Amino acid sequence: MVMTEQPVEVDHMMGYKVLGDTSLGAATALVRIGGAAGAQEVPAWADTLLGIYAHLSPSTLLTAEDTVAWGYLESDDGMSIKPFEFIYSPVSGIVGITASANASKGIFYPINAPVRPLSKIIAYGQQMSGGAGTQPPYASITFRFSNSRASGQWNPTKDDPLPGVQRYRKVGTYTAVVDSAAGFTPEAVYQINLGSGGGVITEMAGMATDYAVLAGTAGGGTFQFKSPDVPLLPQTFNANAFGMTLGATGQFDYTDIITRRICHMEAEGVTQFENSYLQGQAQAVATGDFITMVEFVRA
Amino acid sequence: MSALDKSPGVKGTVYRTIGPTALHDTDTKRLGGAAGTVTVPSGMDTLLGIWAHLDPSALADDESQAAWGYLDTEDGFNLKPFEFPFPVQGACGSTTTYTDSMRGEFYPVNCPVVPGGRINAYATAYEAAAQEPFCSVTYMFGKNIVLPKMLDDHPGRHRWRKIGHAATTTVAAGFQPEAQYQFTLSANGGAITEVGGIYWPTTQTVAAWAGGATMQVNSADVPVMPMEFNMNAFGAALAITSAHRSRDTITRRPCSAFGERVVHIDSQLVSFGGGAELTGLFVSMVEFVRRGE
Repeated sequence: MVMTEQPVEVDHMMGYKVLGDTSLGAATALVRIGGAAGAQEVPAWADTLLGIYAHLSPSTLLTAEDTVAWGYLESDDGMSIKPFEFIYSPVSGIVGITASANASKGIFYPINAPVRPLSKIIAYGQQMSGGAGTQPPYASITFRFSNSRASGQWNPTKDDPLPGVQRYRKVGTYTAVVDSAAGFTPEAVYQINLGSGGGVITEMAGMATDYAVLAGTAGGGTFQFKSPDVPLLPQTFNANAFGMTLGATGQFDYTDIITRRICHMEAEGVTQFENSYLQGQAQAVATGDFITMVEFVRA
Repeated sequence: MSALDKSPGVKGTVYRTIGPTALHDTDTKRLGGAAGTVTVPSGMDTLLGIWAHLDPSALADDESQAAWGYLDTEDGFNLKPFEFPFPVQGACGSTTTYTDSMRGEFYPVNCPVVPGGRINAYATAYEAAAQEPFCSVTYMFGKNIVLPKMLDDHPGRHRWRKIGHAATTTVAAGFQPEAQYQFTLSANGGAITEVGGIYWPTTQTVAAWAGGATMQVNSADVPVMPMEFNMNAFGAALAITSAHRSRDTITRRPCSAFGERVVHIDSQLVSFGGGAELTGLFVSMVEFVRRGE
């Protein structure tokens, strides 16, 4: 048998480091991952932060509580990575002692930021459950570092539609959903700065949840992205729906409920977002929440 | 922005949605209502692709929710046929069951369009059900844009898609045939670029199925046929208080199979595993390109 040559460049290095698991506490306080002085040191061989996997796992389950959180990265060492805000992998709520939550798969966010060896990257997490949030989840970040700027090799294309392009990311505000009969529920306005040279919005995303697990409560709906500063907006896209329960004992399923849609929308300077969400079906009890997220690049 | 670039000039993408629209029995429903349509946004030159979403309304004991859909236009776009399955909602049993989250299924299209033109979407449930699903479609339009490879094996290549006729499957009977269907390539031929299908239990059946199956797609008009591939298995149920999990039950396999003009498809499926009580359906689908179009 003839083996084909493997397409791996020997001068390309790509590896991983983990920060966490860190309890986010029972409240909705901002928590530094890895503790008060927690930080991830850039490996001596790395010149690029290719991306992160954001992981969230529940500690104990409790009726009418889901496990959702957002986080962000920053650095005190002069590396230009902000804003980089993201949503951790969500876990559904349950009801009844025989129920089980969904598995929680780490979510990959491409970054492609230049970094300096041995400098520090700091990560944070914060619960945002619409329920009581009394069972603290654990958050952790897997960093994917590389020497891409030296080797010219970037993320595999299955992970990154724009290999080598540095990304920034911003999330909105976790907002209670108004029942669909009342129309779109607005999220608080938030903004990004694309700089005077302009930039491109490269992904629109959103997540719609429901912490109270009730039979007959259905997921699914429509996100609307709107901005007075982006000529191609407003736009809409459908939300991935959470899994439902049939009876009084059961659980929802949050696997894949972060809906991410690649896009290409040019704008410049300060860009405001006035996003909203329309629940797909009227609910007997409205206990849902939603949040949106944008990814962008600067010229 | 290299992965999304097609050529110099103004670039952009625009998303539009139609639905969610409730289905009823096995009627064909136009998404968005009797006059429901999506208008191609200003400046956009291509329908890059669609996400097909199915959201259950409520769950009911012993029934699944599955549907197929198609796109249509009266404004001259070379769009048809474009037929596709929506994601499947697995069947539940009793009142302690639950279902998977419902992720939209992406289908690349890459059809040239003109701003102001209208595209209509339709959906039909495979079975009448007590709880009827809602269907919706997210359209992705582009100008001077091609999709990245993570979404599209053949960026920029115009696609068409045809779905078969749902047929019943039983374990004991071996391969079960689907009614023949056909599509037309260009005068210079074309190629099938994907084969696939869905296979799902329409009722909750305790320990009856392991969920696995093999589909065979055949055509006397295509030299490399028949093709066989394993279907992604749905979740088996242990007890009447379980559900058939259905995430990823749309099986899609890229291929390259050249043909000429009219292609007739004869598909069949054999399910394996054990069990005596069986109620299930399957349907095949093919994606194709036309030479020179």
